[in-house]
Parts: sequence; C-alpha cells; structure tokens
Amino acid sequence: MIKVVDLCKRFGNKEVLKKINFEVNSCEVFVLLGPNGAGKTTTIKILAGILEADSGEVYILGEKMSVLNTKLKKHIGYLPDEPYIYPKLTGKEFIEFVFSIYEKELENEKYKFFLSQFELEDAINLPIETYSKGMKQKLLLMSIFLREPDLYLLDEPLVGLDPKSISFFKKYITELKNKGKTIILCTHLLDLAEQLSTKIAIIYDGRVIIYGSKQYLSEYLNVFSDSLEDIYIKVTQNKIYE
Amino acid sequence: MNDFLAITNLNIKILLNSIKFATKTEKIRGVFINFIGIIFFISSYIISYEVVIYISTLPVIGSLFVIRILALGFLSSFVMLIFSSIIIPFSTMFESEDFHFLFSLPVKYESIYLNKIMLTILRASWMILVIIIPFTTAFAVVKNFNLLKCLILLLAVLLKILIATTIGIMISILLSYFFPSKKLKNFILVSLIIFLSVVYSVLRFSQPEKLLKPEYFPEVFNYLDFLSQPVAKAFPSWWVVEIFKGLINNDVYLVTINLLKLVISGVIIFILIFNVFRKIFYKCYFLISEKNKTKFYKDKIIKLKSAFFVIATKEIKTLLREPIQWVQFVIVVALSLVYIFNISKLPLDVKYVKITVSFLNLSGIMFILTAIVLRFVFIQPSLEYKTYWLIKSFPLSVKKFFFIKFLVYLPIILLPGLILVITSSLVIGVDRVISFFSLGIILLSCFVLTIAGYSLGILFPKKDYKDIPQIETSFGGLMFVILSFCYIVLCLSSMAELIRKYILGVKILSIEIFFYFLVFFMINFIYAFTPLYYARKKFIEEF
Repeated sequence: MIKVVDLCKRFGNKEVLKKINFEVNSCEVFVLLGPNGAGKTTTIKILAGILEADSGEVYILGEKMSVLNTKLKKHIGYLPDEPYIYPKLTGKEFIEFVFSIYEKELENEKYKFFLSQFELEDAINLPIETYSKGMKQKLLLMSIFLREPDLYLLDEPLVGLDPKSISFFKKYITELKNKGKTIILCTHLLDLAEQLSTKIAIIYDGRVIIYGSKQYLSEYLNVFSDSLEDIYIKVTQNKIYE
Repeated sequence: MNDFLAITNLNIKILLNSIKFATKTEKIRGVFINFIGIIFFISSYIISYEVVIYISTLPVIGSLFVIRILALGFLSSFVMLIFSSIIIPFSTMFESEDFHFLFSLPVKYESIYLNKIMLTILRASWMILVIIIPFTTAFAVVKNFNLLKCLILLLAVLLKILIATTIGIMISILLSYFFPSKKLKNFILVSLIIFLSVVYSVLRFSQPEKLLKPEYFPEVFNYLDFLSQPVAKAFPSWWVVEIFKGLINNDVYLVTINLLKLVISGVIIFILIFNVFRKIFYKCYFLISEKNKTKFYKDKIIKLKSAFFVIATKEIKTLLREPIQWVQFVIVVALSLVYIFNISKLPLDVKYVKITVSFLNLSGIMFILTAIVLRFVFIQPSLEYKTYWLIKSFPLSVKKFFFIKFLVYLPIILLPGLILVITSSLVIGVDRVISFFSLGIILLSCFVLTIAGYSLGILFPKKDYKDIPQIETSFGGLMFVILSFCYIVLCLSSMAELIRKYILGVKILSIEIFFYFLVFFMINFIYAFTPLYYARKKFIEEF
C-alpha cells in the first residue's frame, strides 16, 4: 500500500528527515510516534503530497507520490496538525465543497450518521468561524470519514475532541481497518497508539529508529513490560540508532 | 476547469457568507464603510468633473491640459498598480492560509494557480478602480461620450489594469525565485516605502507647480510643446490616453491600433504568467515556505527587572524587529519635511496672516500626529490581541499595564510633534505668545491622541490581519481617524475666538480666557478618557 524509501527533507540548514524508510500494508493502523520536532508531521505532509521531498521516494498504491499527483490524492484523506478551514463557510458548505472537489456524491444517510455521532447537527449550518477547536476537528474528520478514502493520514486527530467523539473515533478507525483501509496516525498519545496500532514506528531526530508491532518492539528492545511507554522511553532516552 | 470553477465558487460563497452571517456590529460597520466608500466615489467624480470642466474652458491650453492630466492620472495609477501587485501576492499566494489545504485535494495545480492569480488581480486593483472609474467617467461625461465610446474606454482601462497587475505579480514571483526568503515581503515593502518617500520629497522640492505657469517657460511655444508631449509613450497607460484622444476626434484608426496594442500585450503577458511563471511560482512557493531560518538572538542571563522595563524592552524589540513598523518613520520624516517646505513657501508678510497660518498650522500638525498614532499606537492592540491572555495572567494591574504602554509610546508621538511645532513656528516667524500657545496645544494633543489611539485600538481590534496596513485601514482605524478629525476641529474651534481677538488686538477678559480653556480642556479630557474608560472595561471583560 505504502512504501517510503530513503526519504530526506531539509528546511534551511536543518535536516528534518534523514533517510526515512518504512512500509505499510492494507488493513493496518500505522502509528508514528516521536518527540516534538522529530519529523512526524513532515513525513505525513510528504505522504499527503503537500510537501516535496528533497530526495527519496514515496509509493502509494504502487504509484509515486508527488505534490502534482492529483490522481493519487483522490485516495487519501488527510487531517493536518494545524487545520485551516474557511471561516466564512458553513460546515455543510465546507463538506459540499470537499465533495465537489473529490467528485463524490454525498450520501444522506451517512451524512446524518456522522452528524449525530459528532453532535454537529445544530452547528452544521453555521459559519465555521463560530466553531470551537474541537468542532472544527470533528468537521474535518467528518469530511474525511464521509468520503471513505483508501488511505487515512491523520496528524494528531484527537486534539480538542470530547470523550464521546474520541470513543467513536477509536471504534470507527478499527472498523475502517477491518474494511481493508490503511490508516497512518501521528500522535503523542501512547494509549491511543497502544489501543489502535497494528504497527508502530518511533521517529527520533529525523530517523525511523525502529518499527513493527508492539510485541516485536518489546522483544527486539528487550523491554519486558506491557507498556508502550517503556518502549518509547527506552528508544528516545537511550537514542538507539538502528 | 471544473476545479477552477469549484474554487471560484468557494471564494464567492465565502464573500456572500461574510455578508449573510455578519453580526449586527459587522453589518453596521459594513454599511458605514460602504457609505464612506460611496461618498468617496461620488466626491471623486464631482471633483474630477469640476476640474475637467474648469480646465476644458481654459483658452488655447484647455484641451492639451485635459489630455495631460488624464495621462498623468493613468500613468500614476499604472505604476501604483504594479507596486501593489508586487506586495499583494505575498498574502494571496505565498502566505495563503488555504494553500496547504488545496494542495491536499485532488485539484490540478493549474486551477489553484489561476484562481490565486485572479484573486491577486482583484485584491490589487479594487482600490485603484474605485478612484480611476469616477476619474475616467468625469472625462467621458465632459467630452459627451456615447455608450459605445464609454464601453471602449472602460475596456481599455480594464486591460491596462490587467497588464499592470500581471506585471507586478510576475516581478513578485521573480523576486521570490531569486531571493527565497520569508523576509522578502518586508524587504520589498521597506524598499518601496523608502523609494516612494524619497520620490515624493524630491518631486515636491522641485516645485512642479512651476510647470503649470507659462511664465516659467522662455516662449509660450515651449509651454505648448511641453503640454503636448506624450507622458511615458511606451507604457500602456499612454495607449489608453491615445484611445481617449481617438474617441474625442472619432479617429477609428487611433482607437483600433491602441486597443490592439493593449489586447496583444494583455494576451502575451497572460500567456507568460500562466505558463512560464506558473512553473517558477511552483518552485519558489516551496522555496519560500520551506525557508525558515531562525535568527537567534543573544542568550542573556535572565535577571529580575521592573514590569515597566520588561514591557518597554519588549515593545522596543518588537518594533525594531518589525521593519514594516519602523520604516514608517521614513514616511513621517518625508511628510514632515514637505509640510515645513510648504509652509516656508507661503507668502507671510503681514502679522495677522502669520498668526492665522500658525493657528491653522496646528491642525496640520495634529493630522500628522494622528497619522503617526495610527501607525504606531493604534495597531498595537491588534498586534498583541492573541497574547492578551498572557498579560492578563500576569500579576500586573490593568491600570499599570495601560500606563506603561502610554509611557512607551508617548515619546514616539512627542518627538515629531515638538519638532514640527517648534520648526514651523520659527519658519512662520510668530511672536512668543503664539509660539508657546502652539507648543502647549500640540503637547497636550500628543498625550490625548496617544491615549485615544491605544484605547480605540483595544475597542476595535483587527483580530485576523495579514499585514499592518490592514489594521490601519480597518473599521477601527477609520473610526480613530474620523474621531481624531472631530477632536482637532473641536479643539481649534474652541480656541478660534481667542485667536481672533488676539489678532484684532481686542482686550481679552480673564473670565473669557478661563472659559475657552475650560472648553478646550474638556474636549481633550473627553477624547482621552472616554475611550480609555471603555477600553479598560473591554480589556477586563473580554480578552
């Protein structure tokens, strides 16, 4: 589904990604973990075709991803870490806009379902500028879930969400995985990673230090504990490189 | 094409929703701003019409002069459009907030680019259109143009605008390509401001009014020759003038050839910007957005300092690190120099004229001070809006915070105020009484305008802005200018009778002096402390 090969990215003098490599298959929830500034968001942005890599390649569904690859973008649902939504549009108009761009029909039943799950019924016809941060996040998630893309790239998806929406999010992600979709999550929440992930990649200082299932990570690192926290701390504190 | 229409449709929806979902306050603001706009539009037309009518009736030179004025108007608007189109792409294209979102969609890059170009052309040209349409219409009406001629002229003007804005955008893209830095916008703005200030001062000091007087030319023939010369012949602005001339004389050839020149240039430039520059922009957009070299300032040991010192240091550092703010001092200096120069050129031989000019001069200085307060003080609350939660979380009283702000900004207003009033008094050559009187009034107005400026800035903050001029031209900025105008008029009106008696040498009773000064101080008190009271209340309740 996704193959990332020797991905490098530099911002000015700072090398943000230093030869990142990983592979993600269908029916997987792949979680990118790492401290702030490790390169998670940059990786996700390159996967989403928002940034161009300096070198290295990204293959999605066997096709090379680039900023100009609009065909591939139709298969992706991307949620940025700092989302911008047009403040003067209403929630419904935003959804309609997204659907007209993706050339998809909006299914009324599904639309109503997500509205009620995210409790946006009363707000959907109001301008987005009146929304709280959490409501904006729900609207964006809704616009992605409604489309049912093949690949979900979600950067810090739980920011601002209320407990009910978090619970729904977790259930829905599991459902998507079972349906054969691929999900890449970027998060700092270890419990979320633990609950949802099929594979975890720990990025540190622009490199993927290690990736695999939680069980594989703990065995490989000799962490005799059930906690992902112990694995994460061992990798990031001891700076284990490859 | 579908993508392009979808994005354009989105922009139209955004515009319509900003009207549909406007709050009551926003609606009042909108109506008020539109009202001011309409007044401006109509008055531009009336002034242009009167000027053209007057000039047309001048014997011999009338018709030449009309063409000359039209040519200068078109040329200056052409140059202004290029300048504004160099700056606008930074907010509509390079720093566009929705670019990342649009790139994440399966939308063709060409559609996004074309949409952004259209948006930039609109944003760069609407203000010029508001001025140029009534200006051109006045000329067309005076020359009795029929509908077809008006439409041809409108088409020519629109083509000129399209060419100018497209050239500006191309320059902006080229500059960004060769100097990919987020600071490029600031650099261009600073350079343009300095350049325009210098050009303005040089033009004024060269006394262009002499060119309007035939006696400055050795022969009348030279003067007529000067008037009939083309203004910047190679520029599209002159082609529009030629079309105008052709329409007056029913010269179809002249109209067609110049219209063709405009159309062909427009098509070539549009092909260039859509094909060649689209590729350059693609490269430089990523170059700019990825260049985030951070300048590290010296790491100093943190020492405990007083609140005043800490806030004042922060204000000064912020000011110095934002070139768009400090470069405006250059404009202030240029304006002040030209202002003093204008006064020095006035024929001031008689005492009463000197006193009258000196008194009226106070309004001029107070207007300059209003402009300075608008540029340096009024904008501060908007710049700091998102950090007020931090200030409010500090163990610092609102009163103290406001007082510190006032102390920091007062010198910026006081210095030019004092320099202007002292220099102009010396240039005019008024007596000591009027000199001290002027000094006192300006001194007090510096205090009042600073307090009012900061308070109104808090009352009408521009929360979402892309650059500082947007704060200055916001509804609040307009309110501050209008209120300050009323304040200046009221202040000077309250003192006018005293000055009249002083000029006439009539004895002034102490009770009269007390009364007029009481009114004067009350006006000052009201303008300073009413906004301050409400600003403090808003600061406590809202931010």
